[in-house]
Amino acid sequence: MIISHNAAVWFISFMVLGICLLWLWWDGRNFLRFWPKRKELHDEFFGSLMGLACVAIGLTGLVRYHLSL
Amino acid sequence: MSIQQLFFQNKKMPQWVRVRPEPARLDLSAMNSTLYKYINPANAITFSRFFTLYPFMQFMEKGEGQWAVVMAMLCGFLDLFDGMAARKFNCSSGFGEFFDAAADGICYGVMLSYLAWHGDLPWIPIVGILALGGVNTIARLLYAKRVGETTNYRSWAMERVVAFTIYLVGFGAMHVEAEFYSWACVSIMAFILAHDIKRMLLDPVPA
Repeated sequence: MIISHNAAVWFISFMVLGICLLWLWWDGRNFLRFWPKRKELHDEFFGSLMGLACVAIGLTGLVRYHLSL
Repeated sequence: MSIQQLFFQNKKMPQWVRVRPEPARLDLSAMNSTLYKYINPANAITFSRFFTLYPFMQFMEKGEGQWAVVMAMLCGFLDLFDGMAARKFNCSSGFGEFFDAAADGICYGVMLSYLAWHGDLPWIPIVGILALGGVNTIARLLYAKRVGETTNYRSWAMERVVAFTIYLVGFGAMHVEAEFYSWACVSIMAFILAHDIKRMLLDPVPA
């Protein structure tokens, strides 16, 4: 064990939150950038949309985890 | 030209100045052979990711979930550098891209399978993820055959799911909402794969 269980819970929580926020910034920016050209840049646009879906899943899981503690 | 030579360009260089020879550089242009397409720094980094698998399983076996997460993170971290190495050493190739995708599949597949076998992740969605990964590989091979060379279809959406999969390994090892994340991962992966199969096998090949 590197850190205590309690510290690990908070470390994981902040890590997930940080990843989700970074991901939200990255794919949110991509989404807005590709939206006007969504027909030509279909794959890029779809990728950013799925990235935002992953962010939503990540945040939902985080909330569920803390509600179950 | 060394810095001493630059400084004494139009003057007689005194005896006490020691001119250092030019540092030896790796001449990669001479290695532009068939072998270099396969054995190069980028592919070496990709291959090194396999060395995280055994420690990962050993740490899980000993109940050291945190160290197992470190191994999974290291595996994901190395994934960031193979592309950088390919650009730096100018050794990008269709095979390298395909090997990178295969290494993703093998590394995360082994980690997920081990966690499911160990009882840390639910096995039904994990079997689903592995089956979808297999279908994805077959579709990519068919796409490569369709295009006519060793190439890799770039799916921006699947790249997100691959990143999500490595987090799933972490969540499984740390027992953080493993069931929820596993089912979410398999659902979004199935959706994206249906889209990618249409793009790879039905839509016209991009020029």
